Amino acid sequence: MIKGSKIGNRLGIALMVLVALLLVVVVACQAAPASTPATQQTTPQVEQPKIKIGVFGPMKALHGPSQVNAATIAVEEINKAGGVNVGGVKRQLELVSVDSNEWVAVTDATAAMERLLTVHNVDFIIGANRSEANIACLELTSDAKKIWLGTGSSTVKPCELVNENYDRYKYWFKLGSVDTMKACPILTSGILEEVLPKIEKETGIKPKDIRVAYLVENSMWTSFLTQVYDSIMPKFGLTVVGTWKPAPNATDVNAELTAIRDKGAHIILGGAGGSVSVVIPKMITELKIPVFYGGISGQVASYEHWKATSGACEYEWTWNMIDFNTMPGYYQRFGDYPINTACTYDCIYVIKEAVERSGTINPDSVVLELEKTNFKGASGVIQFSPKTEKVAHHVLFGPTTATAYLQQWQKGVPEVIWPNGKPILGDQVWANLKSKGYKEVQLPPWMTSYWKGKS
Amino acid sequence: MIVGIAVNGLVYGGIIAILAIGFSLVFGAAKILNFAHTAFYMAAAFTVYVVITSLGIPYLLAGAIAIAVAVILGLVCFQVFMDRIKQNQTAVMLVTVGLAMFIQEILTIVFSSTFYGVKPPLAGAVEIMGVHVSFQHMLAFSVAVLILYGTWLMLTRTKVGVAITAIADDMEIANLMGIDVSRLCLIAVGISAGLAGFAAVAVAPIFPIHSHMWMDPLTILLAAVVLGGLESVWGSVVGAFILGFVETAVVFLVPGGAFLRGAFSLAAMVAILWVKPEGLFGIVFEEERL
Repeated sequence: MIKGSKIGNRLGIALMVLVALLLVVVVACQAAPASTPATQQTTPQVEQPKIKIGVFGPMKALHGPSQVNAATIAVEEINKAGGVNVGGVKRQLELVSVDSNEWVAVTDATAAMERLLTVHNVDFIIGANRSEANIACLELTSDAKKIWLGTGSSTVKPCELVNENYDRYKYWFKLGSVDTMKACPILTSGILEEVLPKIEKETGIKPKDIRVAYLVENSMWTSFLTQVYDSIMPKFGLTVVGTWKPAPNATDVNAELTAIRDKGAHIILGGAGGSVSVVIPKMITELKIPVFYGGISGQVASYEHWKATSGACEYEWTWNMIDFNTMPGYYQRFGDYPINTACTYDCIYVIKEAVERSGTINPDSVVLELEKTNFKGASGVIQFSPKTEKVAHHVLFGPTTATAYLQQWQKGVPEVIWPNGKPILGDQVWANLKSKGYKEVQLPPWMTSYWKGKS
Repeated sequence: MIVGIAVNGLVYGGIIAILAIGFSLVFGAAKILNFAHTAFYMAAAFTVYVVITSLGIPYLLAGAIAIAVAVILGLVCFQVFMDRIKQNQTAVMLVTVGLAMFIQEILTIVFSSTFYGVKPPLAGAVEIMGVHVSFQHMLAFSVAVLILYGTWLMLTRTKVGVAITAIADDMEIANLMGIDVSRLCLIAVGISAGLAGFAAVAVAPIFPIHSHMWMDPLTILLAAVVLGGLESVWGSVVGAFILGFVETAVVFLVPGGAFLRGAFSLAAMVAILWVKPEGLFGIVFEEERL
């Protein structure tokens, strides 16, 4: 062996040992809790460590900022009132947000979650929008035993995992969105109960003569929508004239709308989340297609949608988990209306109440209290399905729990048009529910003038 | 239904043709497969949006600014990234894809992934043989026709245009004849980027503007260019209209399969290439085009 390389090897080893020692020192400093003398803990002036809540969402899309904004309102309200009572000690809340970029890359989402868990060392996590990212990140949060309240992804797989392997996945709770399999039939029936009498009153066309077209983007999440619509149409005696499925990124739906117009449709039931969700209302308004249009699309309730369509989405209806009337001042402060993911407002309060009931932020104790949640919030009354259910820890949907709302753009405001205090297909349980900001549905004037006296 | 297919196909084909013309021009003249072409179009669309909504500038002036931005962007990108490697088409292809993604990410950072829109300067619709077409679509189609005619005039009636055509025919001989190839490639790139800007100005009030909008038209315009015959400007226009009609026909004839319009148009392209591999107007032997 050459002498020089021996010296080089020894130097290299020494350097590695030094780096390793430095790392140990750094990690030890990070891990060591700030020491607080016992006498100081009873003094009111001592600042208690804040409870960190991580907001996980795509900050370059609509969903992320909506999550942060709503959570900020909740945190400010709670902190102003003194904070969270943790075993007799008041602690303030602190929000930490990370950009999951989940719509672009799931790997970005997992990296963001790692940052929340290791760099920011949060106590609780709220957020989740894309199902693939949700499922991938669930493994990380389960490993770390961090409580995570989901706010947007449609998959129920995480909830099924809670039931299948409770000890590992019990920290997951799905507060948003509501179970779309249960909600969509009710919401579809709700809009028809609201609009069919209006059409008859303004045009003279009876429900049995109404023709419906489906215009849904071709995506996985919409595949069940048309099935739901198909199950509801016979109950109202409506005729379906066809199904059109443009690509989510379609930039022109002229042909589809022309064909729908030729078929004489009065109502278009939609479902779009891609850029086609902007194109459709623009073209309906431009071409004055005489239809009542709307569907399941989370971002339609956002003021960004109004701006992107240059106001052409007037009369378009959609659904939302949040009744924006329960968050007064939101638009004035943030320049937008809360969309589905603003259920983080309820997430914060649900966490607060569970921590206060358990007297600790220990996740195993808090989980037990979260399972007993019964909180009246912006999304309705929040309760979770029990761990024994196949879909466990899922927010319950119903007239006495989380309900979801239907909104319609009227003069630049996404007014709530349902719940409207009317029964659904004769079922009176929904008749007791009416949004305090309820406004009657409006029909496009070009629709009423076209169809008046015709069928 | 036939009338609906005809009218809608014409309008949609015209919109694709605007984008295909510029792409075909720069490939024909400079042999550059510029995958950042639709990124210039996207940058111009965002310029229209920002200038109109933030500065309140009228649409026509905003359009002129957007076209200027697209031209400057195209020229800078060519000079800095493409000129040195233009002999290697594969390298140019990869670099331009990277450029497009870079522009996309910059716009995402600044504007996020949200959709934006511009209010149409011409509101309303007109009825043509029972089919309703919006005025903005008619305007886009008219712009496409004007651009096509203007490009033909430029290529056949101006010194610069004839020189660009000469380069497209044979770059070496053109160089030997004293034509400044580098300078004319630069001009061709500028014209191509300007055409992308024109396309953006025409469609900004129709299409949603977002930081990934460069990807959607790239496939269809590539198909139009290949179908028409590489290096043939006329061919790319004809290819654009053929694909436009095919896509529109799919929507009318197969409503539940409207999302397959792209697949059907590409299948039509493959079918035509199977019969005529060089494209509709592509050259097999050296002969005059245009």
